[in-house]
Amino acid sequence: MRSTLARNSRGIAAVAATYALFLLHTQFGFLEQARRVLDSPEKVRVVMACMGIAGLAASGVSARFAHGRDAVRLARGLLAASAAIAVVSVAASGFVGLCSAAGAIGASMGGATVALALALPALLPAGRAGLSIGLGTGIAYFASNLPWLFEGSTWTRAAIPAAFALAVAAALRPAAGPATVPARGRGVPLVLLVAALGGLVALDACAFAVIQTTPGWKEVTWGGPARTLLQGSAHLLAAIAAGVALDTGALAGLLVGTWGLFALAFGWLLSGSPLAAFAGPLYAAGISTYSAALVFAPAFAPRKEPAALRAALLFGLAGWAGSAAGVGAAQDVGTIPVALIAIAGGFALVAALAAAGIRAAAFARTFGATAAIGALGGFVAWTTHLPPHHEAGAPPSASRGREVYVAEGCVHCHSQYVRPGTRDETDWGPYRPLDRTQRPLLVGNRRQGPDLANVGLRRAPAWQTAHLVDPRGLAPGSRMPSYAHLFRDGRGADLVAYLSTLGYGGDAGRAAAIADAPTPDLGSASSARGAALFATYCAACHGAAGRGDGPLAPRLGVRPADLASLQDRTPAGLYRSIRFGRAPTPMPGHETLPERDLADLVAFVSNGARR
Amino acid sequence: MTPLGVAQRHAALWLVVACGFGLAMATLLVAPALGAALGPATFGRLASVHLDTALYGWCALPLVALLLRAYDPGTKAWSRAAEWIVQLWSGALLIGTVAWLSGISSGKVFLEWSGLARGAFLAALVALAGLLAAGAFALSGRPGHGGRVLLWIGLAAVPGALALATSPASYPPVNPATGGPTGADLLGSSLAVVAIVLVFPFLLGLAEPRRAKEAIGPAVALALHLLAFLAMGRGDHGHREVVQALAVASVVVWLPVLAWWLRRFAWPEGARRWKLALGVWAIALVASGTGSFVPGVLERVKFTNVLVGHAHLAMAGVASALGGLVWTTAAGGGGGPFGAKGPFIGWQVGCAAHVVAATAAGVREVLVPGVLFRSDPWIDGFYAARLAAGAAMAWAAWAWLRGSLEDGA
Repeated sequence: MRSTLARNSRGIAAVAATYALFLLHTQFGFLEQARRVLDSPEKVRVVMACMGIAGLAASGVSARFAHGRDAVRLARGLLAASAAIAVVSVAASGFVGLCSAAGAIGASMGGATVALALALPALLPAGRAGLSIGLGTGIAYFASNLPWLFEGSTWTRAAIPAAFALAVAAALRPAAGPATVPARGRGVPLVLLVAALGGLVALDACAFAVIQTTPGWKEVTWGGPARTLLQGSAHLLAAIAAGVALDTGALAGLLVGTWGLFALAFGWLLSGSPLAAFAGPLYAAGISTYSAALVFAPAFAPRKEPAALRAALLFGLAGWAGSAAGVGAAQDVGTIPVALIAIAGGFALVAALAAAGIRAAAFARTFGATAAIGALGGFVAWTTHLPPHHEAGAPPSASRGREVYVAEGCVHCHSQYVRPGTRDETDWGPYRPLDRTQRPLLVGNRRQGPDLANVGLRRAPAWQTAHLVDPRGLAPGSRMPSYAHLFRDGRGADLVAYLSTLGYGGDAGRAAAIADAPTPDLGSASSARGAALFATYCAACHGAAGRGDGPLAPRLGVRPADLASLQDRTPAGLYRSIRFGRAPTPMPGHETLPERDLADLVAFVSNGARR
Repeated sequence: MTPLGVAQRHAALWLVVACGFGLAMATLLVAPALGAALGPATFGRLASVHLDTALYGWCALPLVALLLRAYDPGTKAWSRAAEWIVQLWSGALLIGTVAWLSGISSGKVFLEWSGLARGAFLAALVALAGLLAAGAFALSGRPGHGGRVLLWIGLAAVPGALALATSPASYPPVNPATGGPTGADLLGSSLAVVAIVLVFPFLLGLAEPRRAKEAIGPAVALALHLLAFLAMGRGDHGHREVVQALAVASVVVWLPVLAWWLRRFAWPEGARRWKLALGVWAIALVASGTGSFVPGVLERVKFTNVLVGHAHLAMAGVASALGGLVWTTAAGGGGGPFGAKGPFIGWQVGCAAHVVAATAAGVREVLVPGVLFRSDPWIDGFYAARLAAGAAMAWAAWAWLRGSLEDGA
């Protein structure tokens, strides 16, 4: 192993130098420079577009120019030119100057990356191309995440990698021995490879731009030196692992794996999950994984097309165009678009399926008739059996709402059955025997959310509507999906009408269940802890200061109470209001909050909800 | 390609579909905000597809394949008709998939058939019964004919029973204390599995028909148990009733009997590990089922992830092991694509991790009611573990589908 890496050292250093220059200066330092110098985001967009277009064009030109020439010499020259341009570009100022510098950077880096990809077989004579590329990629990412470089000045982020690149370029020459040959086995069709890597690059570029400008997300990813170093370590380890996997022919699997890491990391960030603390290393691991694959694919993945064409398309379209699209999406949307995550996943999956090489003929012979029956029958079913259309503006109908409840599969997460003699009766009671006249019965078999047998007695329609549109706005940490789309027509209103009927006639039983609930000892509660709980569970409606002016207040129909002016401020009264709500007002109960949390909230609110 | 081979490919494809939807659901539990990308295809709609493709595709098709093998008279026309029945079966499931994703639903968990999909599914069942009758007729005079006719008489009731069960007008007896199934119903479904395992060696061709007399002892015991089940009557009964608790506990006696029974036959090399898996999962399933039915326990674990773990023991554990046993035994020798060691281990480890994670999450639900309705690092961790377990199972499913398509393609 040591001998392999030693013989491949020039190639490893070349990958590290090119990536370090690209990451620290092209992608990061120069962008910050442009943002700092220019007064409008639109001008920054134009500057970065100049870089992208030049990079895209240079990728194609370089691939064409390299034909029949010494790729190592070409790579050496372009890498040195890139380093020099990076240093000079730091002096660029003004819109025109920055556009010119961006064009020069894009052209030199675009050419250098393609030339390097073509030169790598000669620079990695000892085999293990995947491991070597992974190591080079990992070193570059690790170095880029050294805190003093990551947080360094534009000059530092240009000069240091440029110096390294110049040193590497000077030492670059083909190693003795035969060039590494491409891996055997089935490859990913080029068009799918470009789409899959392009999707991942766009997703990464978008996420990185958004994370850097979103304080909460920056904090859990690149927030401070220790975390930045952790990111660098995750990069290094993942890049090496990806390299090892690439040598086993797992290119397609790595595309799906990268997407899985991204989806998990971005999902946690978008959801505000407590596991968002782990999002940074996962994201870093994903970046390094696809980055190693991107360098490996042109020359070493099994292929039919010339390496030059693959390099030009992969770096030009997937790299430059994908990156530009991602940064543009970040500027336009301001968050990581879920649709972009889904599209990138779709591309990666299709590429992996194609690489798996299932023979289309066998597939069609085995499943053709099924597909025909299913497609025809599915079409007929879809066009003839869809539930009745729900007109927007029509009076809400509980019976149609029940159809919506069935159609959306609410039964898979919510029961409608209060178990007698259990805590259910207090939380969601009263118990009533099964009404077998209903068709279908909606007892359910598991609870991903609360029981709904009497939800009409516990939640006001305005609260239901707000909750269906934005579940986590009202119930932090909830896993319920948003059903905002149901309110584009009348289905949402119908569903709310149905939910409001659940428990009809059970008011007395509900009141008795609440009355029977004992009040715990509220004497030793913590008002400070209650303040934190208030911010989580109550501030969305009552406002941070408890004045009834939270961001969701306008959706509730009536203004939430100003907690300073509550009439019943006795601990027992507050406890019941917080735990069981104040039907029929939109004030919901917090039936399943632990008793200690309820007591702490009572302590805080009884002081007028003031810190 | 034999009808059994076609059925194997279809079962493997449905397993991939079920695992794909399961992974999507697991991802949504880890990161609920991603649900916005799926628009109308929300968690509830995905759940129907996941459950029903696993149940009626992956778990049911091995049994269909077994019957097609046992009643095959060897004619080309019969084989072609058998292939078409598999296609019709899968076609019905595909119609159902389109329907469930479109919001066309009966609202009946596990029996989610309605409209055109229900009609196509019942038509497939009737066609299967008809084809088996034709096969039995063509095989008259051959060894085992009497057994085939007897089995067919029992099977002929299945389409009618499923038509009744899938009707929106019907709902099974309920344990009033929990809203779940009664002890009698759990016994009934367990005895159905026992019956399947008893006839398994004959349908698989491991046992000569003349060895049927060896099954007389277990068969008589099963008949007596069935009589006891019928004598319990139907209706809503709680698990605190001694008879109901005994009904569930009585399933335990079948574990040693079935272990003894399956050991009497020479299983091909590739099938042995599936037989071992069947034994391990069956013990875990019976222990989990009887343990959670205990008064004082069931009230707490009903509606929690403890029973989700139990359901995965049943489907991904026992039912899948039965399927694996069918496919590997039919292939003989190394067991064909389902005999591969890597995917087998991936599946079993994934299943075990899934069950452990779900059970642990369920226990936490018992200790901290409503914990799932909030975000909690432990619960989030459990969901992430379930996602990883699901990925291992999906990989195994994919490997089996690939192997099935390459095998004899």
